[in-house]
Amino acid sequence: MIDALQRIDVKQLLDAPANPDLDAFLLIFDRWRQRDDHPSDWVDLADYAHMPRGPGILIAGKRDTFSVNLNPPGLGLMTSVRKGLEGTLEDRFREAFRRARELNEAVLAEPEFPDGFTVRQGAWEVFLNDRLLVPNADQSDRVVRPALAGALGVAREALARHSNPDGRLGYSVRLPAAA
Amino acid sequence: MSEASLAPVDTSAEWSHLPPDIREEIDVFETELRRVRSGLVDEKLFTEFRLRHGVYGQRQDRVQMQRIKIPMGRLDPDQLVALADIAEEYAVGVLHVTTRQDFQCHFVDIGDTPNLMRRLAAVGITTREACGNVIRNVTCCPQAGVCRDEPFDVAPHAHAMAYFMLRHPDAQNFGRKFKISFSGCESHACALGRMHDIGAVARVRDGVEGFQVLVGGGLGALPHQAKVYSEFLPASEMLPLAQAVSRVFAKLGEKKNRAKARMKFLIAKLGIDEFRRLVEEERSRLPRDARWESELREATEAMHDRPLKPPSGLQLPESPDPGLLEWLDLNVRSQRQDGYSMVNVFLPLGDITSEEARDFARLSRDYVRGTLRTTVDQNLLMQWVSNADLPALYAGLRQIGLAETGAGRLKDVVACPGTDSCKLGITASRGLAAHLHKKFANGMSDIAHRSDLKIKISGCFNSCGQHHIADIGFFGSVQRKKNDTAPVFQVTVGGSTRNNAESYGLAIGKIPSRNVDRAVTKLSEFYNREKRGEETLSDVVARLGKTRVKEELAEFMALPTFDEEPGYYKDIRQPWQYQRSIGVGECAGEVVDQAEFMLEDAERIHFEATLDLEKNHYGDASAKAFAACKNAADALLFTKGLWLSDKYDTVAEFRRHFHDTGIFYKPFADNFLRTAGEGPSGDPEQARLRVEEATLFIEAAHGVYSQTTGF
Repeated sequence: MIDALQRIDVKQLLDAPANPDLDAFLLIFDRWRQRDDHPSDWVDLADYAHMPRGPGILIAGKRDTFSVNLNPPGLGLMTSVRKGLEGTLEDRFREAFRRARELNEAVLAEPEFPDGFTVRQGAWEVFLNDRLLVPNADQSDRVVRPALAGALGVAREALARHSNPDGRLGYSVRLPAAA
Repeated sequence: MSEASLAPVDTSAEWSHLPPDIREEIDVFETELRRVRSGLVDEKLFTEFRLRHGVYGQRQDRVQMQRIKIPMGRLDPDQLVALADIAEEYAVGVLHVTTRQDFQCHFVDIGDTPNLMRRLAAVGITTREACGNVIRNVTCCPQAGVCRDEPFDVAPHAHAMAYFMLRHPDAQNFGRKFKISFSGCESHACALGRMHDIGAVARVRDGVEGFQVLVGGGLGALPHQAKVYSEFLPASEMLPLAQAVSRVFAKLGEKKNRAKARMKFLIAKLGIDEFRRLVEEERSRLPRDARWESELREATEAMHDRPLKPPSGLQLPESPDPGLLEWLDLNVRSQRQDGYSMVNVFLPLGDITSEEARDFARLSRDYVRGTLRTTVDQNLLMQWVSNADLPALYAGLRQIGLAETGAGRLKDVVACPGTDSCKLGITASRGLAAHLHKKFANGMSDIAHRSDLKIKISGCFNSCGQHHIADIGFFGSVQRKKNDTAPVFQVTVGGSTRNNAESYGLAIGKIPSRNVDRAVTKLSEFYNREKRGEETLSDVVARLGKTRVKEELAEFMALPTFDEEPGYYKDIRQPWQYQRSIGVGECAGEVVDQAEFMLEDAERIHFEATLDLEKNHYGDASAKAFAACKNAADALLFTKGLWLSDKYDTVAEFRRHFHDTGIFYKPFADNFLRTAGEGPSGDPEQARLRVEEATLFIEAAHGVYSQTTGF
C-alpha cells in the first residue's frame, strides 16, 4: 500500500532575519497563478503570513502546493506534492524532490526574492503526508527509509527520523552542500 | 471509468470500526461522487447533496472548502488531533474556526472528502448538514456549565437539539438554511440568540428550567431581529417545538426565491402571532416521540464534565512575568466553581495550524479532562483549569505560540473569508483583519485591548462576518473614480453583540480599504471623548446622531484618483491592481460623469433615510429609501440614454431594461418594484427594512453600472 503514496512534502530550509517579511511572495505567486500551463496546475495563492508558525504564503495547485513556509522546524521552501506520482516508492521520492528543486530554483530566480533570505544548502525536511497509507510507525520507517535514501543517493543513516510521535512520519536530510 | 468503479462503494471491511449507518452514509456519498465524475449524474444535482455533507465550492475553480460541524463547539483532544491530521493531509495545514463554532479547511480536493469524513467519523465528528438548506451547527455559549451568570447548564439541551434534529426528516425540505443557538444568560455576547432562526435563552421560572424562545432572527443582506415566541418554555418542550417550527417552515417557507427563503421572511410575512398559532397547531398534531426525553437524558449523562485536577488557589511567584499577569488579566476568567478557571486561547483570524492544534491537544491533556470549546469569536476555550496550574499552562501555551492576549478585545477581529476563498466576496476581509492584527501589535497597540468595542468584517453585504452586530462593522464594496475601481468598505455603527446581539448597525458611508485602520483609531478616540458613563458606542451614536459620526470619518472617506494615489486601487495585502478599467471614449465619459453623480446622489438620500430612522421618522425614512433607489435606477437608465423624472416611467423602464433582462440581481430589483407599488410605510420595522433594501439596491446598481460601462 505504501507504494501507492501520492502525498509527500519536501521542504528546503532557509536562513533569514528574525520575523521575516514574506510579502514579496504575494507578488511572485500572483504572477505564477496566472500561468495556466504550469504542471503544478495552480489554483490560487493564499496568505497565512499572520501565523508565525504557519504555512506562510502559498500557491495551491491541483498537483502540487508550494509555499514559503514557517512551520517547524522553521522558514523554508515547501513543495507539497499531492498527485501524479508513479512507479516505486523510490521513484516517487525522486519525482517529489525533482519538483521541489524545480520550484525552488524558479522562486530563487524571481527578482522580488528577498535579499536577506538564503538557502541552507543541503538542509531538507521530508514528510510523508498520508497517515492512512504511511502511519508514523517503525514498520513504515523500515519500508520508507531505504526508498528515500535510494532516491537521494545517501546512506540510510543519513536520514534522521523526526521524533514527534504525534506528527507525520518525517525525516531531516542533510545532503552534500551542492545537492 | 470502469463499471466496477461505478458499483456502490462498500468500505465495510476497512472501516468496520465506524457505526454502520454512518459508514454507509459516507459510502453513498462516495458512490455519488464517482457517478458525478463519470458523467452519470448532473453536477448541479449533486451540489445540494455535497453541501449537506459540508463540501462547499470555493471561489477558486476545482477546489473545495470542507466545513466540519462541532455541535456546541465542544470537542476533546482526540478530536482536535484528528482534525489537525486531516487539515494537514487534505488541506493546507490550517484549521479555521468559524462564527458557528465549526471548523473549516480550504483547498481540499473533492476526491479526498470521503476518507476525510471517515477519519472524522472515527472520532465521533460528522460533516453532515454543515452546509446546505438544513439545520446548521447548533451553537451554544462556550462557557456553559461553568459561567457565573447562567441559571443552569444549557449545553445538554443544545446537544439534545443538535442530535435530535440531525438527519431529522422534518428538517430536510427547507428552502434555506436554519440556525439554532442556546445562550446561558441574557447579557453576555456568547451565543447571539437574537440573530438566530431559533434562539433559546436560559430562564428559570418557579424552579423549572426553561428558555425564552426567540424566532426569526438572522443577519444576511437584510438583517432581522428575532421576535419573542415565548417568554418561557419549559426545557422539556424545546425539541417538540423545534420539530413543529421545522414543519411550518418546510411547509410555508419560500422555496424558489433564495433571497426571501430564510424563516425571518416567513415570520415577517405571517406576523409573529399567526406564526405562533401555526406552530402550536403543528405541535398539537405531532405524534409523541420517545427521543424528546431520551435525547436530553442521554445528553445530560454524557456531558457531565469533570475536572482533571482538584480545585486550587493561584500562587504567583514573587516577581511574576509581566506577560503572565497580562494573560491572567485578559485571557482567564473564574468559573462559578471555586478554584477553577476557563482560559481563552486567542486565534488571530480564527486560524490554528495542524501542528499548533496537536500541541494544544497534548498540552490540554495535562490540565483538563477533554473540556475544549470553540467560540463564536473564532477562538478556543479550555474549561476546568485548576487555578494553581495557570502559570504552568501559560508557560506551555507560550511555548507553542498560543499565549497571545486579547481574545474578546478590540484586536480580536472577526472576519469572513472574503475574496480569499468565497465566491461572493467583493473585498479582502481577511486581508483587512490580518492588517489590523499587525497594526494592533505595532501602531495601534494602545487601543488593542479595549473591551468595549468589537470589530467585525464581511467581504460583501451578506454579513457572514456579522458586521451588523459589531460596534464597528465593515462590509466590502467598490467605488469608482473616473475610469478606475477601488476596494472600499461600508462602515456600520450602532450594532452590538451584547444582550444576545441586541442591536444591528446601519451603514454610514464608504471608506477606502487603505484608510480603515485610521478610521478605527478615529472612532476609538471619538468614543473616548463622547462616552458618558457606561454608554456603548451604539448609545453614543444614538445620542449624537449618525451625521456626527460621519463628520468624524469624513477625512477618510475621500477616494483620490488613480493618478493621485494608485495605492488606493489595491486591496489590503493584495499588491496587485484591484480592478483596472479599460479606457473609454470622450462621449461615454460625459455619460459616466452624470450617472456617477446620480449614484452619489442616491447614496446621499440613503444616508438621510438612516437619519430619519434615527429620529423615529419612519414614514420619511421609507420614502427616502425609495427615492434613493429611484435615483440609482435613474442613473442606470441614464446610461441607456433615458433621463426620466416620473416615478412610473422609471419603474417601467427599469423593469424593461434591468429586471426582465436579468441584468440586475433579481431579488434586489424585486424589492424596488414592490416598494414602488406599496408606497412609504410608517411602521418602524418596515421602514428599517426599506432602508436596508435600499443599501443593497444601491450597491447592486454600482455593480451593474460597473459591468455595463466597462468600469
